[in-house]
Amino acid sequence: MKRLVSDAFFDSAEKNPLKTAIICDGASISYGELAKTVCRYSNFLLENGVEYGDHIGIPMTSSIPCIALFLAACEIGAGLVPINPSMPAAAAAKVFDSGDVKHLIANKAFLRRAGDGLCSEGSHFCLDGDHPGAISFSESEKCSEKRPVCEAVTGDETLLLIMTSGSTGDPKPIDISQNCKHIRAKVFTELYLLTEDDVILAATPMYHTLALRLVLLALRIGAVSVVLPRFTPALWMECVNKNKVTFTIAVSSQLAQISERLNEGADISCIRCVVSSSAWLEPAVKERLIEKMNCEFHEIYGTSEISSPTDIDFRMSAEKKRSVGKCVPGARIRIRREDGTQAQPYEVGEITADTVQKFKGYYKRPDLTKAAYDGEWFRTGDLGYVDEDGYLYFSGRIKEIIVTGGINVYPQDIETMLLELPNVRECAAFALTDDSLGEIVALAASPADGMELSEREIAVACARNLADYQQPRKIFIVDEIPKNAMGKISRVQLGEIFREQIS
Amino acid sequence: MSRVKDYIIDYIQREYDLPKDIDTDSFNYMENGYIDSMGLIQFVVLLEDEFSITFDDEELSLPEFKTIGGLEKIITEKMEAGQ
Repeated sequence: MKRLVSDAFFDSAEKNPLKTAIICDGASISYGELAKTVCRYSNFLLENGVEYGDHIGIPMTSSIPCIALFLAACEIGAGLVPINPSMPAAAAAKVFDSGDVKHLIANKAFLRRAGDGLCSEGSHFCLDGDHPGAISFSESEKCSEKRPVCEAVTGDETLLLIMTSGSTGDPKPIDISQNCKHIRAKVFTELYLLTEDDVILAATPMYHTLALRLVLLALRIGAVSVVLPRFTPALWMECVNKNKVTFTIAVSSQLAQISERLNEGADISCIRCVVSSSAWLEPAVKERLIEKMNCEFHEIYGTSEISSPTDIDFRMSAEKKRSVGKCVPGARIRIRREDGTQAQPYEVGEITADTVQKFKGYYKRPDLTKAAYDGEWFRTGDLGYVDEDGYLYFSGRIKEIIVTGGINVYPQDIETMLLELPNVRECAAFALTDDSLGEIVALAASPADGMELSEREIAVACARNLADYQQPRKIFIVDEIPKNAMGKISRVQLGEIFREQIS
Repeated sequence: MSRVKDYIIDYIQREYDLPKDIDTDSFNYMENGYIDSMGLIQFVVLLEDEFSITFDDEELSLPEFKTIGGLEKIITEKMEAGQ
């Protein structure tokens, strides 16, 4: 039995049971109470049909019960497939199907809206009260507060499946084990010199790996985890001030918004170290933040598959402000030419990485996993170069994803849905740059022969069938979607063409 | 509660319940992060579709649009005006 993540948490709980473990949305829980909750949840799931190796779909909110559930999954060797709670039922069904999800744990609001027809083979659980056909989590109160013995757990089984999409729109679930989560947390605890005295803020949605990473960074070393469920710059600053936050990793679009409010919001001088992630931060924004926040300021580069192989501390490397950093311990970077050979310093090529933080593979897709590697090197699909000192610079993307507000949007997910409309002949989703969100989703569509197509129809179909972050901000109805010389739609070129049209 | 208000509150609570001790009418769902700038587009389109109305840019930027009571009033008035 090897449960490195939950063992570390239970060690923290044993050492300091009265200490606050999590503060979230006006509520808080001590290490001792959280440990009891995790045990009750683990036993409750085992008593209600969840077995070792089962996958559980969970519209994951930033809440104490969801964090306890994550630790319970570590305890019993179950896998979680987190989704955005606002995801429409059909999209959730597709995700759960590709992740072999058997059970569903959700709030009443989700069960009411989308629960019917999902995970009909396994159990439905309701986290916040009663719902017809679902087992209420309030019944876990009666369960044992002892850690369950689960001999089968090795830590190498699936703990999280994070959904992405392949080039054809097929789901491409990123498979992350407990051991992998443990290694990632260990690397960053050492890198940022985190201790039990830190107060660590997670202010991104819990269904992404970043927030869970931040919670775990705190709980495995006995620090305080502060969770902010809903982000606005003012709420973030208030939360930092009120809880005396010392460390956080934020997505760059959040930091861009915060940088505009630094003179008017609450005092945040308690922060010792801030890390920017998920997308490149504009140098001007970076300068402003470094100057005003007066604390350690880092930026990391990475992908969900390999976490973050590079980090830069701008106070130590002031002259490298356009860089996304040097390799963290256990990681190596190699810039790959198209022919597979290694590029020279300053020569742009594909960023590839070999790191101890890497994922298990794409779930049940060994073909896609194999294609993602060049030998031991994971191909990120990003373009970049290194300088003579080994600092990495990001210069663009080969893969056609849209990163809006730090969240990856896969154009194929939007296009596949819209192509089901009878009056859409072809369509393409692409990125347009945006000062506040980094990029926004734009969409070009052409009507089927002899049929009408309006922007409104597209907007309504998207609003009904896609999650909030996938909504196109700009819609262009065109006779023909521009193609490249090969007759292929290039989403990168579309961004350039339509940007000119707007300006 | 009116159908319009029910719809708004249901939508806003898709992820998180509203605090218990608030005056719902004056509650600013944007400032409190229940709907962010990314989610606003979807919310607006669904409201327009549900109540067969169209908002113009000026309405979207009204401070009242961001409170539950204010939004309910804007929608109800538009429906009564037959738009």
